[in-house]
Amino acid sequence: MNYFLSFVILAEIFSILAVSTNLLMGIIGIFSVAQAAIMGVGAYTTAILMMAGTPFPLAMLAAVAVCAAINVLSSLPALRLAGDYFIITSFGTQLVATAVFINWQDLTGGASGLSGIPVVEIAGAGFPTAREFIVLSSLCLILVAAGFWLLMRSPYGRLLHAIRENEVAVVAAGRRVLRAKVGVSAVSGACAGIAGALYATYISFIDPMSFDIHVSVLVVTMLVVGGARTLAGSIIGPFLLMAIAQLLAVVDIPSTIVGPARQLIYGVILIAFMLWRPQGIAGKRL
Amino acid sequence: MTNLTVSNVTKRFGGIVALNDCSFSIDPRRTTCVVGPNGAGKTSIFNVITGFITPETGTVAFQGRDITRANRHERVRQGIARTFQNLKLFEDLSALDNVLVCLKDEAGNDPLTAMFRPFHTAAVLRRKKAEAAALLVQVGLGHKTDALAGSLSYGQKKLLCIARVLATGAELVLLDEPTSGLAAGALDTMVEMIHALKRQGKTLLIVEHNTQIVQRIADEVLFFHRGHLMAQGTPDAIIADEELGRIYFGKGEVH
Repeated sequence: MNYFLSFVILAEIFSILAVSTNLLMGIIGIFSVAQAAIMGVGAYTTAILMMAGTPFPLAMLAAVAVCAAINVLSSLPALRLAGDYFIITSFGTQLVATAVFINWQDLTGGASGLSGIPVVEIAGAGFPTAREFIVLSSLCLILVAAGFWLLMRSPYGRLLHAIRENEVAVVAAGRRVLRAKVGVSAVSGACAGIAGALYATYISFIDPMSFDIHVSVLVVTMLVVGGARTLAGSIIGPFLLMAIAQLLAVVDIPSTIVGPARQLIYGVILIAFMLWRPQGIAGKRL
Repeated sequence: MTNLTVSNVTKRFGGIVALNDCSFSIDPRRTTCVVGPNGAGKTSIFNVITGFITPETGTVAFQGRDITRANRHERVRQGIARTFQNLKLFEDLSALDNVLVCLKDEAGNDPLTAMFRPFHTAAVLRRKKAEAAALLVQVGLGHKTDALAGSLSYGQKKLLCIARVLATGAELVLLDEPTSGLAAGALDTMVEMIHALKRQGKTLLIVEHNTQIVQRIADEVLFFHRGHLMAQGTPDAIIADEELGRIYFGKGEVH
């Protein structure tokens, strides 16, 4: 039972991160492979603050604010110019973040990471095990999903779609494209911050490997499989891919092969979807 | 009285002089056609007026204010909007959303309002949809509100561009080749549309190649050639001018 709950919680956390990635990649067309790094910043911020005695809600709020700001800063090159070159820039952001997580030892614990992150407590109620935590992670996913849905059906959502379609035409309509892009990057960063705060407190241990380039690529894969631009896609993708990982764990194969086998399967799935179903299961073509 | 004044504008691209010391003004509620052979500087003058390029020298003033270095979106706010020769529609958005995105009204265009004031935002959206739908009716696309822009015929796409430019609320409207590529029927619809805009009191600046259409719509003509403004006058006077005719139709010109 706990095994299943744990799967749901992690899939929910990755769904929140997929929404974050979707806002950049699917909605406004900024192809980023740095969202795990942003989530990592949120996780470290939450962990460090809580280990210093800050209550969870405040620590999470701080993570959300920091991630919103960092996501805007790191996507700034893409805000100024539209183009595929940003994927290289975001790759750089990801590598820099991992290097900082590893080397800023006083703050991040270096390669061995931070362990013993306190249990979440909100207004006297504790969330020590999966049974309680799932309430928190589900609530966060519902709020993030509602936020995404409200955003997309508003005039602002239409503006974002229009920017992806033809930025020059949006400028010619008198709209401030830069402002709109900064706004969506901030929301995207905030989502990554929520995911990071949940991840750190649920696992209670974080290290640089938890937020490296593989995780960023995994989220992109989840989004491609689930389908970009839609809310359903951001949720189907993470649940499906994490389920595959869970199945591999119970299949009777040597544990040394599980990791590489998972990577291989993810890779094959990504290629297969790109070739035969680029819009994913429930999304639209990128 | 003068709405737009372009003074001594020069723009070079490398060794090519796209605009050479051009000066003219346009009075409100007049329709001015910009004509000239390919490479004459017609689109360049559009780009200078709308802020897509900045001239090396010279100024552009609109309603008495210098806008030479104003941002593109600021110019739209002040009342100058344009269409593009290659349309630049949001092909994957509905006709309605194409217009909705261009509405002058900024309400509902920020993420915090959208997420934290959902009922207010829903009301704003309803209001904007009604406004956009009315504009689509005005350009004769009332039956196409939910159709994707990409699925419209070429003539309908061009009308959608007119609805978008009207949505900005601009007084000075620049149309880049609104009739090019249109079949006879669609062409008459577009000419009728331009007359309707004139009746609404818009000031129009139009790049137009077809001299017959120029005669049907223009109050005034600006004739460009190799970056120079060769002449400004009534359509009849410009068309009657033999030298301009030679330049335009290439009669007897030897390089």
